[in-house]
Parts: sequence; structure tokens; C-alpha cells
Amino acid sequence: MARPALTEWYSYVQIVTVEIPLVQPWDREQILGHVGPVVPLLHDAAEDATQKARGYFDGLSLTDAEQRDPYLYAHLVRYHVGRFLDAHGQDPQMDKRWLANSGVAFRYGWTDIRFLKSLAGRLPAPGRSMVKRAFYHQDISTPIWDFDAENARSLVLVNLVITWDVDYLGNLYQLVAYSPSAGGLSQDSVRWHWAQPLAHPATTYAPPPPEPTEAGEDLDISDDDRADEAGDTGEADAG
Amino acid sequence: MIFGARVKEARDLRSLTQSQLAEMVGVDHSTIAYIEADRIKELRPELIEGIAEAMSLPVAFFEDGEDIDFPAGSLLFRARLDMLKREEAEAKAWGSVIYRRVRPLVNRLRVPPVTLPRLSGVTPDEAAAYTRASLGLSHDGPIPHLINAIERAGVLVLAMPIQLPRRDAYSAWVGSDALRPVIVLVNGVPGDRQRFSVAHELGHLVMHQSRPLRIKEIESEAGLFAEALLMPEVGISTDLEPPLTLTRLATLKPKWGVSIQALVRRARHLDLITKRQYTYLFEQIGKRGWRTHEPDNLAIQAERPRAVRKMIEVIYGDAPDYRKVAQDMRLFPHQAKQLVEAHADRSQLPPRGAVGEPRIIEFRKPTLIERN
Repeated sequence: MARPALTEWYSYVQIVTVEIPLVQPWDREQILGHVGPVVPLLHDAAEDATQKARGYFDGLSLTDAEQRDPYLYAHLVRYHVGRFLDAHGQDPQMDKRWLANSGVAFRYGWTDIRFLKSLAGRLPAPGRSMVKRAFYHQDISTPIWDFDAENARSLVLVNLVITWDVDYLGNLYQLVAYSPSAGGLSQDSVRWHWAQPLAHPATTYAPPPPEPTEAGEDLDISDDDRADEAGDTGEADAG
Repeated sequence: MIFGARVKEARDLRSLTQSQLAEMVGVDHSTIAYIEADRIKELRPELIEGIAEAMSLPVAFFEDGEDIDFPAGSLLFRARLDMLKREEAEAKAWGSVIYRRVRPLVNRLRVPPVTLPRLSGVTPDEAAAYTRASLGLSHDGPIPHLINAIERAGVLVLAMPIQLPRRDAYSAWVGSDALRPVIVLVNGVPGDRQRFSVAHELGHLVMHQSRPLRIKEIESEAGLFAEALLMPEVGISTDLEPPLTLTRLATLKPKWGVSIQALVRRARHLDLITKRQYTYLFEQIGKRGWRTHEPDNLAIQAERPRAVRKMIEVIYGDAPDYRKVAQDMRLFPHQAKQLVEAHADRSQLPPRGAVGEPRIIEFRKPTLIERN
């Protein structure tokens, strides 16, 4: 095949304009506003998963001496959260993926989110995993060949961790969003730009306002001199 | 001349003991007992005025000697369970006082005929489905304005201007032949609880006229009736399908106009969730403090009955002269105004199409229920 002339090469060049928001990991309001639509789904998933994980252990009828295995409990919760998101996460901005040990992560718009069990109410350390450490350090690089210019789905600007907490019975207690900034082997090494407990959707849900309609018919009550034909009321005339 | 029954009624309204009233008017306790038993024929005018003043009521209030048939009705059911005698008497007195003032209006005017059924030998679910049909409501959808629907079926709904800690409403069939259903509402109850209580009382009116059941059974039946009326199985089953979480229940509360807790109970009674899931959900509700106070953003607006105010408007005009109303009602003008304005005015009517039209349905077989 003959090599194309220079002028013909120009015809392959496309100018692509993608609007990239100017967001930094410390922009709490902007990030929370962006992930807001997915919070009810996460709560829903976590509530359903904790119910199912509890149900598993309650089904075993453990004796008092036998403790609920916390690792299996957490594993079951992650597994059921993942399944719930697979079944109900229909949002086109959402792209869920499984991690090792039934771990759950997903991209939502320009955020990459990991769903982790809190460590006694705190953001857990990434440990030895270099991938996790890079995630905590907001070490984001989108390879140009991954860049999907059509909808910019592969463009990640911020990494987030959403932790889940349960009470001693195993009921979901709260979800907290963290924008991590650093983390290593020990818990002391963990840093974050901000942390925000996510209000339960039931406390923020705004029911749709009723559609304005014409006022209804008033009750059929009229002055009829006598109420003989009005139906048998059974009441003596006192008037 | 004043009547002892009115003194007792007024004392119950004010939640006073005979001794307290006696002390207020400067007589001994036995004098009040004698007055209430009509055993003192002539009373000193100063004493009559003293009693009226102590009760903050006009003397005319005590001069009404007419008997009305206003039974305690469902107060007898729940009263023995958790209600104090004093509160029971107060609730009964308010209902009686309001009904006494409304009854002449009902007799004078053309009012909606009673189409509410009285059933026996049916389950709460069947009774609720039948009641829905007779109220002209769909067999499967939410009821947007329950009180308006039952007022159209001839139920007289009276609003008490007071709050009671252990009671939201009570009901009775009143009149000499017990042919008029009445529900008395307590003020200040959240909308979801109010609607459930009204539905519960409707259950008593429809099902519990002469059934020799124990109080707990009666209450349980009325509760199941209320659930089935507000959340019919055929309509709500899809909404309550698992997975059922608090997040989803929050979206269902405004749709059905019932509390999150009522939705969970309904899901359990319909066997849509296991006993274990029911427990988990109630633990989560308790943990978040929603057993006593569900989130404010999900609050359901309380409904207000309309009929009493409409009757006043028909007789006294849209802007009634409350001096005249009060005179006829044997109350002070501000009391008459308070009583009337506890009920809805025209602007507070539910929107067009929000309620059905009551229908008279002959009751034959509970299983063959005519639908709208």
C-alpha cells in the first residue's frame, strides 16, 4: 500500500473537546454534590447486605460461646453489596468492579470509589498493597489509550473511600465518605483531606410536590329545611 | 336551673376532681357530688356563677338538660389497656360536648347519608376491601385523603381542640338508634399516625358492634383492618417486595401516607419479609430514634375534617358571627370559634379526584366484593 500524502494524514485528525471539571480532592462540596445521587443506592445496598449477613449467622443458631466471625461477616456484607450493585446499579455513570476477597469498587462519573469496612469508626490503612497506597495518595493517571473521549467515563479526578460501620448487633450504623491523602502500613500513616458522614437518605429524601390541581368538590351539605329525604340519620330533632 | 350531668361533663373537660372544683368554688367536696347527682334542687346564683367561672364556661352551658346518646364506644376498648381513667373521661367529655353542639345542625341540614357498612363474620382484610368499595375508592391504590372520603360516607368526624398523650381518636355509633358513625380526633397528631388511627377507628365502626371478643382481639382486628384499608395487599405487595430497606421504605411513606413502621408491619403480615428481617428493620428504626419520631422531611400532613365547619357556614354564613354561634352553642364566642376552626375551611379541601364517591353496596358474600 502506498504511503498517504501529508494532506491525507490531516484528514484523520479529530479535534475533541471534553469539559473537564476543575476539581481537587479537597473540594468537599463539589465532590459530595457529584456523588450525591449514588448515596441512596449505597445505603440501600449496605442495609440489604448487613441484613443478609446477619441472617446468615442467625441461621446458624450459634451458642453464646460461639462468636460471630467478624471476618466472614464483613466478607458477606461486601459480597452482598456487590451483588446488590450489580442488580440495581443501573446508573450509566456507574461502573462497578469486583476486587479481591469480594471487595467492591466502582467509578461514578469522575470519582473512583472503594467501599470499605471502617476500622472502629476510622478510615482503615491501605497496608502493604501498593495499589491501595497509590489510591490513598490520589495517584491518578489516566492512560491516553484508556481515555474515552465520547463520554469521558474513564477520566478519574478524585479517589474516594466510603466506609461502612455496624453496631454490635450487626445493623448498619453509618456510611462515611473520605477523600484520602496518604496511607501506608500503619494506622497512624492514614491521612485524609476531609471526611463526611453521609446522612441517611430517609432524612434527606424530598417527596415530589403534589401537582397543583383544582380544589375538590365540597361536602354535599345544604339547608333543606327538613332532612327527611337526606337519609335516616337516626337522630332525634333537637333544633 | 343547672344540670348535674353538665357540671360533671365540664369538670371532665377541665380534668378536675370533685375536690379540686369544690376548693375552687369554696364549698366542700360533698356539695359538688350532690350537685352532679342532681340532689340539690335550688342552687344559689353565686354558686352557679362560681362553678361556671371555675370551668371558664357560660352559665348557659350548665342549663342544657337534654340527654343525648353519645356512648364511650371504642374508648372502652383501648381505655382498659393503657389509658388513664382521667384521660378517658376527658376524651369522652370533649366528644360529647362537641357532638351536643353539632347534632342540631345535622338534624337541620341535608347531610351525606350513612353508607359505611356494618359487617360481621368477615376477616379484617375482607372488611377493609368492602369498606374501600363502599367509599368509592380504588381497590389497590393509596388513599390520598381518608377523612374526606369517610365524611362523604356520612361519618361525622369531630376535631377536639386538645392533645391527649395516650389516645389519637375514638369512635362510636351515636344517636338513639345508633345510626350515625362518629369519630372524635385528638389535636396535634402527626398525619401518618392520625390516618392510621382514623382507619383503626373505622375498623371498630365497621366490624365491632356486637362481637363478643376480648379487648386485645378487638384491637388487633382493628389494627389489621387499618393496615388493609390503607395498604391493600393487591396494591402494596409489589412495593414491599424484598430487598426491603429503610432507604426504600422512606420513599414509600409519602406515597401511602403511613409510617415507616406501619409499612414494615404490613410487609410482615403479608409474609413478604421474614420475622428476622422484621426484627432487623425495627432494630434499625429504633437505633435511629424513629420509633417515636420519624424523619421530619417525611412528615405527612395531618388531615382536617370539614363537615362541622361546612354546617356552620351553611347556617351562619361563610364569615359567621361567633357571638351568635356561641349563643346557640352555649359557649363563649372564642370557644365556639376554636371549636369550629379546628375543622377545615373550603380552601383546605383535598384536590379534585383525590377521593372517591361513596357507594351503597349490598353486602352478601364477603368474598365477592364489588370493585370500583
